Amino acid sequence: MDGPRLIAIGGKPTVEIEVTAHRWWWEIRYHDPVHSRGFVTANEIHIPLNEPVKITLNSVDVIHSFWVPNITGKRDIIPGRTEEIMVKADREGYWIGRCSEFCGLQHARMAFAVVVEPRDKFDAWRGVQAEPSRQPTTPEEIRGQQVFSQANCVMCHVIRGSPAAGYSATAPDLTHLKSRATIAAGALPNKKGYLAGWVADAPNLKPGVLMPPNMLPPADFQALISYLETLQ
Amino acid sequence: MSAVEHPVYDTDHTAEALPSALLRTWEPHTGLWNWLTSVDHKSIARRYIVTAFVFLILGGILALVMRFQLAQPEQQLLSPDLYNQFFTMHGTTMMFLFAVPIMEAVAVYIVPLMVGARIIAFPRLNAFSYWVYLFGGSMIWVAFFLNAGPDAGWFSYVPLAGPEYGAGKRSDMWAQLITFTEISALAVSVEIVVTVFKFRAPGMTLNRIPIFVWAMLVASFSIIFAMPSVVVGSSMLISDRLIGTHFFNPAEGGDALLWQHLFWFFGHPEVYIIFIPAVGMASTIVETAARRPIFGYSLIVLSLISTGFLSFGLWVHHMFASGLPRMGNSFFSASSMAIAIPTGAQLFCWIATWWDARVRITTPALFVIAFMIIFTLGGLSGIMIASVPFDLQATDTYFIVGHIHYVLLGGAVAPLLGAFYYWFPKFTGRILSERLGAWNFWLYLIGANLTFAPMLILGLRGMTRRIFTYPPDFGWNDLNLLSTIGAVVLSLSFLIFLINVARSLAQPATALSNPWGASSLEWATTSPPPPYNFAFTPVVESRWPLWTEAGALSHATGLRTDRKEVIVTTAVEAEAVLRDTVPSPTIWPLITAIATTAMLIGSIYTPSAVVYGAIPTGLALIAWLYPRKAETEFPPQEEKAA
Amino acid sequence: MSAKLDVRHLRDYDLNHGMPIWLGTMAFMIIEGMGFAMAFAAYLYLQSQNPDWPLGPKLPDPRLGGALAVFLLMTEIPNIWLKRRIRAFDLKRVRIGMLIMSMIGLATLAIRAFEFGFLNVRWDVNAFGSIIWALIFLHTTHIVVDVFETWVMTTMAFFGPVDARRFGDLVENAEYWDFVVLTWSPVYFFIYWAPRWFGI
Repeated sequence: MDGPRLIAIGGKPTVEIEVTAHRWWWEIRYHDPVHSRGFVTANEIHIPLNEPVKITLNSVDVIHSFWVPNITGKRDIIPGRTEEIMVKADREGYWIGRCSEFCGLQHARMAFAVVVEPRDKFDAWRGVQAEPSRQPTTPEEIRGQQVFSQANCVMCHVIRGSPAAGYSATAPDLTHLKSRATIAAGALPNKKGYLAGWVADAPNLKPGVLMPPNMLPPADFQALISYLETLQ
Repeated sequence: MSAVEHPVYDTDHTAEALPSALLRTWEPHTGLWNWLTSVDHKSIARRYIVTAFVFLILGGILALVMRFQLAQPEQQLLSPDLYNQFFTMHGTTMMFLFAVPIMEAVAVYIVPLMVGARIIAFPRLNAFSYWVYLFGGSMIWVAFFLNAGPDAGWFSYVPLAGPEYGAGKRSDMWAQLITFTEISALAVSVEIVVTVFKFRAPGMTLNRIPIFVWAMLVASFSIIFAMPSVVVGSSMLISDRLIGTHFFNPAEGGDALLWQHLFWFFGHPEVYIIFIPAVGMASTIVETAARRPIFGYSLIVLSLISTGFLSFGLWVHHMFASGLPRMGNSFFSASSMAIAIPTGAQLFCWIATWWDARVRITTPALFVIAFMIIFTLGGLSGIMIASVPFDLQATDTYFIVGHIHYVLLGGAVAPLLGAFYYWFPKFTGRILSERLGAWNFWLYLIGANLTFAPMLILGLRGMTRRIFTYPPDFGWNDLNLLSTIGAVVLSLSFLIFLINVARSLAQPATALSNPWGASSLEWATTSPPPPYNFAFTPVVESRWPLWTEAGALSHATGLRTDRKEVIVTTAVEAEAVLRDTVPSPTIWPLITAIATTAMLIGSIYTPSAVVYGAIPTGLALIAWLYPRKAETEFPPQEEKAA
Repeated sequence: MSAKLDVRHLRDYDLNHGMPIWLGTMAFMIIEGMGFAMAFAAYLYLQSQNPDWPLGPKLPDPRLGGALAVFLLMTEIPNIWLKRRIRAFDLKRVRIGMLIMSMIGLATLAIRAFEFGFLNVRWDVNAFGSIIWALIFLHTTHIVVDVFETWVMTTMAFFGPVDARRFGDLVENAEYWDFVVLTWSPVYFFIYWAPRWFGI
């Protein structure tokens, strides 16, 4: 890497992100002085190219570790403490991070992504993330949203702009689920077939995960998946 | 009141009759009862060695299976839960049940002989410590087979191992295993310190003791100062899990990092506790193979001592990623680099010893060469991770796994294998095959590098550690496969070793007292030695008694043969000051160990076991310690006259 | 092989600090001392991590612990006397001394039993409670072991068999009481005074 060596990343951070580590996924919260521009997502971070970014790290359960090899060294996340790191990426790209402190059954599959993009693209992404979810249009999608609100899903997941908009930090925010490249913290590609398998029986794909299997009548299940597929 | 005795002294027997007279006194029983009641340090050490090697094989099998799981991405040979138990058991077994005990075991056998003593200090405690080790190791392996094996890693970080996230009794088993192995190791280290300071042959001043004895002295002091930390920590862990304390619970004022500090304050000296005996073994082999005194005796001794001291100032390098203040990190970074200096000094002394000598390249010497190659690579990777910025990328990746195995296989297991080839004639009266030894060495050298060099690279490519599988598109596949092939080669090396041992044991015991022509006192008696080690305690005049006093070793007379007597000497000058009577064989160390085991296992399940279990333990201790009969006159003659 | 040294005339007992048992006991005291040291370090560490140390409104009441500290120091008087009598091989007075120390041991345990009630914080309430109970538990274990050993040795002093070597063991037992007395001072400080002086 060219450029001056940095001992510490100086400058006022232009973006402030709060990362909360769970077993075995990453809750990502973007803060903004304008409240309506803040939002929650999961497992994927976007940052603007060449700008200092402050990342605050918390854990709700055991020790995890935040590591994106191409961008920054590790920082262990100790429950009961809040860690703060400064990050500044000087290369665009889709960079993969991994949890780097053994945290139990699915430590191997607790990945996340850091997308480094130019400021305008970053702003566009952030704008989309801050909006509430797309409303269902077809009958099947509407049925799917109903299923979501009536089944187990709503106990843990949030989809802003839908009836399931209560605050819950126990599972990834699904408002813009399909904007992410992977699901299950990098374990599976974000495609319909994998999504269906995950919703049906997550512990089968990622043993130990806290999401239970979901036995739904086939029509309801299809509707649910169709609805989820609309959440860009 | 005073015992009426007609004492019989060693000079009262003819030279031919003396050995059998001593044997009657020193090993009065035979068969199974003899084995169960033995307080002979050699008998105890043989058990320790065999048991430790069993644990080595068990731990190695775990590693081999893990390597098969990781040979290809996304395999399902081991479920995540089983994999977590496997890597935890592998580390725990290797570190607590193999590495430290085997070094202690060799010391228990060799140190008394090397200093010209007939016993190890506190022989009954020695027996007790073996049983406690055996029972504790068995406990954790039974737990593992019952699917209750620990699964939080060999250093068991909280809160993962704590009451909230560590389900069942798995981590309690681990924490209590610590108690078992620490009791055992602490007892042995006290015995070694007292043996080295009080039971040396007259004339063997501190300046004349062999390097291996210095190494064991330093390692024993390290154990004494380091192990209490992990005992305190593991007790806190059990009590958090069992009785609701909050040492590590941040919600009530506790701190997860407290565990890390307590564990690593022990954990870093622990690896030097393993390493220092091994370099002592290597120095011994280097000297014998060169057939001349080692270069830089004083420098080597100073290096051993300073390594021991320095090792207590390194522990935070295991925590560089925890967000501790930069100044603190820098200090530990410097000390972690500094410790390379005394180690390097020893290496250069060995090279200097061999430089102009007619070195006899036997298998022990080959394994010293293996040490030099493999450990140097491990040490270089260690210097790299001593640098904080580099460590923030490398820590918790396979770079660390590669580093630790390089230093352990190079700096501990290689010298240990060499020492085993070296002292096998003394232990068993047979010599191991040099031809198989050469195969052992080459497969070891190739296997170790093939297994662990890829790991260094994998770490730099971002492969985190303690993962049961990995994605196929990260570019990690080929190196993992290569590493697995290396593991198979390494396993073959150990298989050859076992075959070598088995074949040699099947031969009759015909080895000479001193087949290598070495200089130290363990070679001044038969192979294997009799229960009383030396018919007459040697009197020493130099560092190399068998070289300088060739064939005409002086000895001391005047010990009784109708009871077990040894000479006690002063700590520095080794002047004889006392005739000490040592205990006869007894079953009570075993009984006490059983009672202690019941108490410790019970207290995994209920705190009242500490109270209830203390009662039989106390009773057994009374039976153990209560004197059976007066052995000397009372009041003492001198005092009567005064 | 020449006979260089004759040890026939050496004594077969020694009460001085040259005895192997003394060195072994010293080594075990270092081990236990390190255990205390790590517990003290844990105390200081937890305090450094908690600005609101000692975490709760109630503090341990130092009165009984202080009385115990004074009592223990006073027990050194009979203990030192006993050590002198042991070194003089004065069996008659040694028996009296051992009986006194046995009773003192029981009294100490009784005081300690009451002292638990003065701690005012349970071990499972917070980390402060946990660490002070850990400290007092460690010290109590030492008292229990010492009292047990003292009673066994008193039995031996009265009913035998006693010989010169056993007097070495008696000296060791008396010196172990010194260790129990010595370690109480820092433990007392950490439990009762450190939270008042360095906390809040």
